[in-house]
Amino acid sequence: MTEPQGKAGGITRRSFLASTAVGLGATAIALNSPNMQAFASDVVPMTEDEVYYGRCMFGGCFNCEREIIVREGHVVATRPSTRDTAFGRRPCARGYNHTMQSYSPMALQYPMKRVEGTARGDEQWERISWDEAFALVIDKFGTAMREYGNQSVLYGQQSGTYGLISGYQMYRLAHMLGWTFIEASVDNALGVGQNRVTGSGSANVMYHWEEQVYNSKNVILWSTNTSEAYVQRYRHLIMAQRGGTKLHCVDPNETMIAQRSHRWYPVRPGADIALILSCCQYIVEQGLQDTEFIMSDSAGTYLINGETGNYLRMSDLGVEPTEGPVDAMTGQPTVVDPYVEWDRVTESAVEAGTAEDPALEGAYEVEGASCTTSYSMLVERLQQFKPEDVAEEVGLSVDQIHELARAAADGPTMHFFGYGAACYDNGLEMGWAAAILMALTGAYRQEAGRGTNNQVYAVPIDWSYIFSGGMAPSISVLDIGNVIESGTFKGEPWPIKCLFLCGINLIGGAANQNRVTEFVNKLDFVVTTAITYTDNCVWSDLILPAAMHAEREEYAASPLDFTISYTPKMMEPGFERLPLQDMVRAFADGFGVGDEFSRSDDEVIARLLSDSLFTSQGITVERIKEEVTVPYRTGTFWVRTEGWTTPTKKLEFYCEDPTRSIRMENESEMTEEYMDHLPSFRKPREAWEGTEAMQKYPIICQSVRAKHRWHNDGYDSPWLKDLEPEPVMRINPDDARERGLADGDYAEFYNDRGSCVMRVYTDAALHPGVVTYPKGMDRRQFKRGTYSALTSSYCNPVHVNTSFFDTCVEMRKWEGEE
Amino acid sequence: MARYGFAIDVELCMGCNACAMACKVENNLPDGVWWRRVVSDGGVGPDTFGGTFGNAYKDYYSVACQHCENPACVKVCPVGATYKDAETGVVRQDYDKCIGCRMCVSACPYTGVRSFNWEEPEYFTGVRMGAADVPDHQKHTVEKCTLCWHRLAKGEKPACVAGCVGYAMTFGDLNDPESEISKLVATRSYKQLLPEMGTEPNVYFLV
Repeated sequence: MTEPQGKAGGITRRSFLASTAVGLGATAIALNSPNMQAFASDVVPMTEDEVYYGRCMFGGCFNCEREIIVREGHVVATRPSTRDTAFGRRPCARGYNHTMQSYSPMALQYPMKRVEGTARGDEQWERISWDEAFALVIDKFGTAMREYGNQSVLYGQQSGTYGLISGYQMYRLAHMLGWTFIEASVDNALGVGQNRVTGSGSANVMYHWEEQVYNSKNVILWSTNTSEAYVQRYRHLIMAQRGGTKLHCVDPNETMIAQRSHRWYPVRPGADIALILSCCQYIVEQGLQDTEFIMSDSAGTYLINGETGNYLRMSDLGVEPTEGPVDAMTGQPTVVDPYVEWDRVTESAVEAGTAEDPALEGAYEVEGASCTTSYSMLVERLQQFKPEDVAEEVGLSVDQIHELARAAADGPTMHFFGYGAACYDNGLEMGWAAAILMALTGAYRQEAGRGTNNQVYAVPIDWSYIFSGGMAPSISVLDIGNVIESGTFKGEPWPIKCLFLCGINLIGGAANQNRVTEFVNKLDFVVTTAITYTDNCVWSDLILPAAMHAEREEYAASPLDFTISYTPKMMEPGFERLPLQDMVRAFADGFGVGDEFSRSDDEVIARLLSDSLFTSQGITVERIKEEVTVPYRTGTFWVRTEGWTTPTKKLEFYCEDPTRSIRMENESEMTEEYMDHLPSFRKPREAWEGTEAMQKYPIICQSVRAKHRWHNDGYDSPWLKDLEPEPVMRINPDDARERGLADGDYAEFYNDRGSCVMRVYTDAALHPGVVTYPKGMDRRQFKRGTYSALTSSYCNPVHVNTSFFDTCVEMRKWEGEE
Repeated sequence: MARYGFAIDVELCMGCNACAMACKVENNLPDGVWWRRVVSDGGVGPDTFGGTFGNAYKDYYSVACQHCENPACVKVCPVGATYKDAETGVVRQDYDKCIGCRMCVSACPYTGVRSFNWEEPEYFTGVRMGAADVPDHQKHTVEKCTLCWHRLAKGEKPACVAGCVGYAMTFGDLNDPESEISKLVATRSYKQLLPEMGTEPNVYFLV
């Protein structure tokens, strides 16, 4: 419910919801429809409106097409596009605000420098000219680069700035200059885990979601709060269900989509891995696996050498490896040493692919070594997860696990993943187990209803242009504080002196905020370019105002569907705001690489879209400008048609080298538990009963999407603030009662890392012992502190993902002033 | 005579507020004024579930003027500023006639669907927003949903319906048995708000 308190006062829900009548269709009486003349308009417009079409540019969202009305040089309205856009998407509440940001009271207007003698965070600013601003950046950064090396400039860019002209040009410049990138370490774990089974491409196993969902018999929703996080997809799930698709929602909390699904599985927070592996055990036990697919697409028949733990190769059988094609990366011939299967006809070990009847299961003696098929290795591991053994730990009944397993096996089944379940320290295992379930059940092959992630990460632009001047190093945001303080990274000197923030919500959004402000304050010079006055700005020395969405031309490649889009410039930049791409050119000139950025915007786009994927489909800059939204098609099943990218080129149930494709940051934490060849249920590091943290702070703190923000974009919008005025923590009614908290109270949430004060409301949908907060609020919107002060910044060495949900807190009524 | 109204599919409504925002932008509503709001029926707080874990419940209701068949507001308006359009059934408000007595506000059982401009309307945007053919908002005037009269005049649906992300809202003539809305109301279970007040609202919440 939203009850904005404006001059109009609030609607009182109880006043009319208390008495509603239910009836079944009253009989309608036919009368003549009125002539349209009946609606004679009250006002005759004096000016002609200009109508533009453009797309939202929020990173990681749908980029819905909208009709934008411009009158006398000003954007005055946003409407749903009346043209046939992708799947009939209409802008959400945030999309209306997006074009209006030029008018935000918090919109940046001029370059501003922190007043000499004041501290960061004092918010004392002095307006300066662009010439002074550019000179300052070039002087400060240039000095640091000369004295400490180019890596001494730390650069952060995330989805707040991902336009193909502006964002990617800035990205290219930072790479070319060799700055140190901040790797944001969000939403990594799921993909890294899946890659253990599929290779490097699992994040791209997502095709035309809106078409597939209707063709699926079952859809399993893994911790995706669709009605709030994916509003454009919610209706498709409901409509598919009305058409016969069954929705199975796995979520600790009774979300709206959980409530409206065929089945809801209220898994214990952080236990999804055990649930998935238990489903796998039941599937195999019952013989529900897709054996044909396993035989064709997996390395299940490949033998594992019990002594070495490696896949058996023909060289182990005395067959000399041969030379293969030259590796383009190394310039050296590849080594061909085929894998080995057991042929049940000849009763012998043979080169993989040559057996007449390859054994999928079994243990065999080969050249004196005990060998087992990789499939059997998996099956053996799964026996630790029999439903009757893990049901209690998972928080579900044996029957519930059986039913979910049958839904996974009874395809076509589509898996739709949110990021919640992977937001624990065991996030990698979550992705790994899920991929194994999809491989076992053939979800990866089914024409209708395939295993899916929710985003396309690798937009197929020509990345060689981006990296033509070199590729800079990156360090996780979870580790960067240590690097700043020690001046070293992986044993090498690595001084960091300056920070440039561009579309990344570092201050306010990154975990463990008290730590973040601590290390930011150790830097000599901090610059933020932004469109509004964000938390980053507050803690900067210099603020550079970027042109708003309506004030510049831009292209984008949507991460949630397959489109390239164009948004024209609709109004002049207000005040002294500059398009980011113009700032890039000024910086490039100042740092002596201006020639590399002399292309016009159109030329840049043409270069980025020079990949054959686009040219073969006739996608040109001119066409995109004319049509605004241009869909492109990929193969019907990209990953599979290009082959799996694992070492075996097959789906792997057994990971020979667990260090492959992992991120090797925080190597000191790289212990034996991460070296398992098969997935297991590693408990959450903090948010699990019995941990030291949980004994002190017994409440698990999870985030949800703020319904009316996109990341922190729109935090400043008067309209969105009417709808969602302040951060609210939702708490289970029993937990509230135990602590004497009532609806509307302010409460303090705290742990060893920090605290914050927020308004609380009870919510019966929350798993007992869980609280949820809306991501996307500005630090200054809290009564005190920020929820980001609570979250853990532990840097898991394997997936290097922020485990936002692996956070425990305690709460008490706030006795401070209102 | 037509009887224009809304059918709103409660299962498809996720409370995203796009309808409220579309209305606000299209109609150039002043700061703090919303003619349409989405309210949740669940727990005490906004967007929260009521009930108990495992049997929690929350539904959303997009609420504005109900364009009643028997509108309480029309009966009490002393100057005829609030009236029911004879041909369309739309409950209209004539800003120029309105004397700001707010009798209509008191009489309407659907609390909060009307706004009253106590002061000169203000806009943080600094420019006049919305459709060019909506009337200017006036001080000391009661306002409410016009059913996007200016859009109907152009053969367009109300902004809220055209903007519904979940495709939950249907607009049409309830007196035309062939209209989509009539068919929905004839075949689906529905709720109406405060039917016992006798206002005969023309908004049907399909459940």
